[in-house]
Order: sequence, then C-alpha cells, then structure tokens
Amino acid sequence: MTHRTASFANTITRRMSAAASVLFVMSTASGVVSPDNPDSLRLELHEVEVTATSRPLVSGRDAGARHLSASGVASLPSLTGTPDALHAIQSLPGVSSNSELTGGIYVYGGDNSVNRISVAGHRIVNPMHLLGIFPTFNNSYFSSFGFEPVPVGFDTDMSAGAVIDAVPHRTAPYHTTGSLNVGLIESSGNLAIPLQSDSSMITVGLRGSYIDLLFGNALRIDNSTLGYRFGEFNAGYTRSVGRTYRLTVDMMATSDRAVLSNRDYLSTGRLTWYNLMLGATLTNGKTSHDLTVTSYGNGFEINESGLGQLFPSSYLSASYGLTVSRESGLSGGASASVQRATLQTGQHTPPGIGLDTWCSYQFRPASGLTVTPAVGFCSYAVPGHRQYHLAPLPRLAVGWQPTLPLTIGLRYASAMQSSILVRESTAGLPANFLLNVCGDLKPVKAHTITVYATLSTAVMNLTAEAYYRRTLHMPEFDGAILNLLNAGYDPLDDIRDSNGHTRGISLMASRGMGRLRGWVTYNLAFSQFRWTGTESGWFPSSHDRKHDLKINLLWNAGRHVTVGGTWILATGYPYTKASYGYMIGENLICEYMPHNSSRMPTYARLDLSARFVLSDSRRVRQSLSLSVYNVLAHHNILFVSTSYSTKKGIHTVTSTMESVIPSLNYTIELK
Amino acid sequence: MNVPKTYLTAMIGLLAASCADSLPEPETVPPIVIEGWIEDGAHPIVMVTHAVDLNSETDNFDSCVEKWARVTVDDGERRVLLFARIDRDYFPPLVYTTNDITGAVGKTYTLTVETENRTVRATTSIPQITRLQKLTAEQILESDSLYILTAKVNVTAESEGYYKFLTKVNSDEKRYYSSFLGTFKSADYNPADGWRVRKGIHNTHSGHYSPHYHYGDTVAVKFCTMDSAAYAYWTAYENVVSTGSNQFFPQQTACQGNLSEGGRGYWFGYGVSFGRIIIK
Repeated sequence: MTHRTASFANTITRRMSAAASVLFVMSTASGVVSPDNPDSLRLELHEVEVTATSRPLVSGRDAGARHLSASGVASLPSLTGTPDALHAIQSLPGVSSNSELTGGIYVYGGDNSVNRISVAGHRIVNPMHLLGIFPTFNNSYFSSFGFEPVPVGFDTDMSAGAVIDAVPHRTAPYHTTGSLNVGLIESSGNLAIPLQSDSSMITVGLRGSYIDLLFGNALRIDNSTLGYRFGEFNAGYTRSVGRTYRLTVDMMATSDRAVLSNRDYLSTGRLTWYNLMLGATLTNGKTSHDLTVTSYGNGFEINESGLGQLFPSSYLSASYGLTVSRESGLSGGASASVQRATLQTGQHTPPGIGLDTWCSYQFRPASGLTVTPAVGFCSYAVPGHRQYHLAPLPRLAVGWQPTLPLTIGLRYASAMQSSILVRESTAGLPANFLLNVCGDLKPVKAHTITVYATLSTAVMNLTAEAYYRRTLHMPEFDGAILNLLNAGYDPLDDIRDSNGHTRGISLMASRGMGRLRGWVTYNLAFSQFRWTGTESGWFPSSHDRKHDLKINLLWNAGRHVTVGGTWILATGYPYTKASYGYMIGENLICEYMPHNSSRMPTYARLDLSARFVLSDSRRVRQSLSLSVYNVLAHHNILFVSTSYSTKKGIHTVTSTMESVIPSLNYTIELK
Repeated sequence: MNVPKTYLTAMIGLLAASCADSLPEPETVPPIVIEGWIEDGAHPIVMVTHAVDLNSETDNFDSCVEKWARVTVDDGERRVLLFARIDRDYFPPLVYTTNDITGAVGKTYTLTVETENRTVRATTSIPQITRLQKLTAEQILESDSLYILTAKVNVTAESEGYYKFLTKVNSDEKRYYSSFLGTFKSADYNPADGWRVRKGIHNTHSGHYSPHYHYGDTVAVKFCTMDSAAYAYWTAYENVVSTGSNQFFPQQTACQGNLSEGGRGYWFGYGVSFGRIIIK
C-alpha cells in the first residue's frame, strides 16, 4: 500500500506542473492477520486525504509583496527566447506594460531608476540591457524573483520605489546540475556544483548575445541602426552549517556595447556600459551581516567620420548592513554606505555618506489580524558641500484575514533615495549618468499607499487594489547631448526638478492549478508630474498608461508540450508632439506642444511560445522553445518625429520596429 | 455607507477623468517665420514664410512663402521699404532686400514685417568686427580624402564676445550655411587650438551629410561677431538641427529668436570677416 501510495504520488507529481508542489497528508493503514488463514493479510485502509497545494506562477496574497518562480517565468513567452522575469513583473498589477523601447519596471507611475534591483539583496545599479528586448537576468541561474511595490522592510542603499530581488539557488544539489540554453539571438549556461559536503556549493552562470550575427538589421529604426552585444557573468558561493549559520557570496558582472549609426549624418554613437556587484551575507541565527560593493559605468562616444570624443561616467557604492530579528516579532537594523560619482564631463561629485537605522515590530492584536509598523531614520551627508538630509521614514503593513479565503490589507511606505539617474536618451539608452545627491539636487522622496483585497478560492485568486503614490524631486535632463562637446558645460545646470503623483486601481485574477494557468491584470492609472519652481501645469509622466490590460496564459497541451501566450492592450505612452514646423537656414525647426501632452496610439501585442520536451530522463532533460514576439504584427509606434524632404516637404514620420520576431532555443538540463 | 454606490461613483469619476485628457490646440494663425540679417558693409536680407501646422494636412512648402509681405528696416534715421526679388541662391527663393540701407558697425536696425494676419518686429545691432586670421586644412588620419578645417581668430578669453562660423563649399552651395557646431563664446575659444570649422549642415543637401571637406574643395568661410541673443539662438538651433531627427536623443527645446510675439526665427546684425581656402 505504501508502494501504491508512493506510485500514485509519483504519478501526481509528474502530472503536476513543475511549479506545483504536492503535499500528502495520510493516515496509516492497519493490518489484521486472520487466525483461520495465517497467509492471508486483511488490510483495512483508513481514509486517505490527498491535498495538493499549487505554487502559482505568481504567489503572494499580499499585493505589496509577490514572488515569481524562475520555472514559472521560463514558461512565458519572451522576445529573445530567453525567459525574462522583469517582463513577467511588468504584467503585474500597478506596473506599466513595456514596449520594445522600455525594459524597465515602472511601478505606480514611478521611474525605473527609483527601483532597487538586487541579487540576493545586494543592489545592482541600472542593470538593464538594451531597450526592452533583452532580459535583465539569466533566468535559470536564479530560483525565484521577489517583487515588492510597497516595501515595508528597509535595505541598505535605499531606493524610493519598488524592490526587485533575484534570488539564486541556495540548496546544494547532490550532484552537479546545470543547463545550457542555445538560441539564435543569445545563449546562456549555468552550473551548480556541490562541494565536499551537501552544505556548500558554488554556482556559475554565463550569458551572451550576438544579435548582429544573424539579424544585423533587426534593430533598425528609420535612419538609425543599432548594433549590439553583451556578456553577463554570475557566480555564487553558499556554505551552510547547521540550521543557523550560512555564508553566501554573490557576484554579477555585465558588459554591454551598442553602436548607434545615423545614415543621414554619417555619425555614430558608441555606448558601452558595465555593472559589477560583489556581495556577501553572513547569517547567524537571527543576525545577518551584509556587505556590498556595486559599480556602474558607461562610456558614450560621439563619432563623426572618424573623429570621436568619449564621455565616460561612473558610479561606485559600498555599503554594510546589519539586521537583527527576534522571535517576538521585533527586528531592527542599521546600515552605512558611501557613494561616489564621476560625470561624463569628468567632474567628480563629492562623495556622499548614508547612515540609516530602522526597526519594525510584527504583532497580532486579534485573530487573523497582522500589523507591522516600521520606522527608519535615513540620513545622507555630503561633507564636501556641507549638505545634510535627514528623514524619518514611517512604514506600515496591515493584513487582516476575516475568513480563510479573504485577505484585506494596507501598505504604506515612505522612502528617500540619494542616488539619481539622469537620462539623456528617450529610449533609456545608457547614455545616462548616475550621481549622488549634491549641490542643488535633492534626494528623491516618495510616499506610497495601497489598499487591497484578495479572495483565494480553489480555482482562482482574485485581487483588487487601489493605490496612491506621491513623488518629490524627480529629476529630468533638459539639456542637449551635444553640449557635452563644450568644455565649460555643466550637465547639472540642465537638470529640472519635478513633483508628481499617481493614483490608480488594479484588478488581477490568477489561476495556478490545472492545465490552464496564468493571470489577467487590468490597471487604471493616472500619473502626473509638474516642474517645480515654474508656473507649468501638470503633465502625464512618461510611462503613464491609463488603461493597461495584460493576459498571461499557459496551457499544458500534453505531457511534453506547454503553450504560452501574453497579450497586452494598453493606452499609448505620452509624448511631446510637434505643433509647427518651419525652415531656417534650410533646416527644419519644430515647435512642440506642452510636455507629454500627446499620446501614442493604443499599444497592442500578442506573443506566443511553445515548449517541447524532447527527452526527459532521470538526469537529463532536453527541450526546444519557440517564441514569436508580436504574432499579429501589430504596428506599435515607437517614435513620432517630423522630417523634411524636397519631395514631401515638412511631414510627420512614425517609426515602428520589425513587426514579428521569432526565436528558437534549445535547452539541455542536468538534473 | 452604501459601499457599492460609493465604489460606482468613484469608478465613474476615474473614468470621466480619463476622458478629460484633450490636446492643447495650436495657434489658429501659424506664426510668421523670419530669417533675416544685416552685415557691416552689406544690404539687409530677409526671408519671410509662415510655419506649417503639423496637425492639419501638410500643404506644399511653396505655399508657406509670404510673397506679399510689407517689410521695412529702420536704421534710426529713416525707415526703408524692402522689395521682394527672386533669388535662387536662397530657399525659399524669394528675398526682401534694399539697396538703400548698408549695414554699419555700431548702428541699430529695426525690422518690421507685416502680413495679412500678423505684424512682427525685431531690433538688432552690428557689433565690432573680429578678424578671421588664418584657415588651415588637415587630412583626417583615418581617411585619404577627408579634411578638417581649423580657423584661428582674434579672440581671447577677455574678449567677452559671441561668434559664429558659416561656410560655403565650391559652386554647389550658393549661400553660406550655419557651420555644424560652429557657434561659441570667448570663454570656449582656445587660441592655441583654434576652432574647428565643420561644413554647414542643411536638410536640403543632396545625399548624406558629412561635416568634413574633400580634396579639391574650395571653401569660403564667414566669421560673424554677434550679440548674446544671437548666440543663444544659434546654440539652440544647432542642438535642434543636430539631434532633432535622432529618435533616441531628440531635442525638443524651442529656438527663441528676437522677434516679437507671433514671429519665429531671427533678425540679427553681424560684424563679418571672410576667409577662403582651396584644399590641396
């Protein structure tokens, strides 16, 4: 009987998706031997209860904190054929849908630069690859991804927006495991190697793109062509002793290179950027020490017919954090960090020092009610400028479960961020520079509150959420990139300060069980900003989508076939439209309507994917993945610009990227 | 509290607000566009057009030329009416000019342009001339046929002036065009290095634009001394022209000239110095 039960369990386990875990709760069987027939054995089974608990693609009843499993992410379609956790996060409530140009996470109308993106809690500065095309993380290197749009906990090197954390595999395998993913556009590989004992291991991940090799013109928009390649390296070491002591060391290094060529002006812009993060965490019982060094740098070279000028910038941050928690629900911590930035003009901003302390207390005043108040004191000093910023940062999480399926909650977080990313490109090209607060620049501050209700039924989870976010001192670059060629130019003079707010509601239905799984999200949002110190009115934030409908579905078509689809229908992004055009000196000059006062047409896209398991033995699994990006060839407009030609005169031009992009990936996994 | 009713009201409010996003209407009468200058020792040149409304059906650019404008220049002593003449050296090929006024250093000139719908004015002066001292051509290392020009001018950091280069290459170009990145102020100029004079940039050129010159080119260079308003205008102009068509780094700032309300463009006075070089 035990064998049968085990067999049944195996069958169930096989039939469940990889993302599902099965829990069996059963009583024991009792046996009676008949005295008349000693060979007979009469077994009387007690009732056997089988309870299956799924781990959905997106888990978390709390709308302020969600988790995505890497295996779930791997099932979803992606542009390059490589799974992309951030694309999956972009389809969650409160997060703006991406386009081909935007790879960032825009939560509650906030900019991507105010998010804290980390690996195992160690911050990585601006880790995005090019545009919205390439995944930020090597998916199979990680086990899961956490997403907190309203973080109640505190981190070192704090941000003013959401927290996105990629969690590497931490459990040492019995033998070496890994995977190799080979695709037309990019490839990746990962290994997890156990060391002498089961308690320690090293992990290595490698990824690279070579899109120019086969698709040289894939990144061509009108008269501009982008050439691109990148490499990415992850490594980790985990050592656990007993249940309380664990040391982890993680590193991530990326290097990207893009060449932007303009046909009309025979000019090119070379963009190179890198990320380097090295972090260590020592956990001893309820005490944790974190040490992180993170660096970001880029070089932007303007080149005209062989004459080039390079504008490099860099940013370095080192931080230490201590966290202590107690069984009583009380926890606290402190952190210290130092940042230093060099601008593209060669200027160094004075180093800044951050000192933060925080504490939180989780208690249950009534049945089903959990309250977690927290407060942090965030200070940032720039001794070179005699500048000091101090802010008390209250936070609160309340979760109430009046009945088993229903959860009602509230989250509030205030935050302050001392590192500022200044964008010089509309498309988020890393011709940007990062600096710490200094001079007239003020820290970005934000207050976010969300109220939500989650109803969990046997077949589906339903979540409704309302949110409000107030952002202060959001910087925007208003200068011209060519000004960098002038020796006396200070880009800090062209940074404008803005305040804004976002309000909205989100609805989400998700299903984690059965052959058909996935989630549907609808956002209704209003995100507006206003320049400070001027009489200007409100304008929509650059990533404001009023209506945003996203559907992610997965269908297990058979034992070895999984079909996935993502459909997005969203209000177009705001942009600044030209109102008049005229000729001066035989060049076209345009006048523009108020900032972001116009809208792109509705954005729509259907992506499909299919994964075929070619073979699946005890140790090796081989699969083939096919993804088609924008199957319906919807012509989503990326840019609207104005042009002049002797034939057409002054006219408006719209730009779209290649409509349908297929990708094929072969994966072999060592289990 | 009636929760469903409150919820419904809130939803309707949100949706109503979402529909209230209307575009600002552009001005009903397109602005007049003036491209005008007066140099020491030369007669005024003024071109008058009106802007194209990009939110309506684009009309032919020829229809944007103001053929019947009343254009006058006042030099402080008299007011002279400019006549229109066909001049195919310019685009559009209609310029307003006069032989009765010749620019002089230190004098102030007021331009008035009246069309059927608008009247705009602007005032400018001709500053002291700064001399163009030397032009040299140098072959680009990576190329066997491309050359760069370097100009030495009589500018020091203490000069506190504003300057601009314009170029005209061979007989292909009939007029002087604004040199790419050719606007600077005294503080930007290093006498040891000189200033790189790139070829003038214009949308009406045939083929691809290159800022460099070819072997055998005859390059005429005009070096202008101007006031701070002209410097601000030409700096913004260069930024817009250089990156205006680049989708990744668009420049959406306005080129603020010195014309009164309803006018776009400029009316500037230049103290000019000329140079010429044959690249060989």
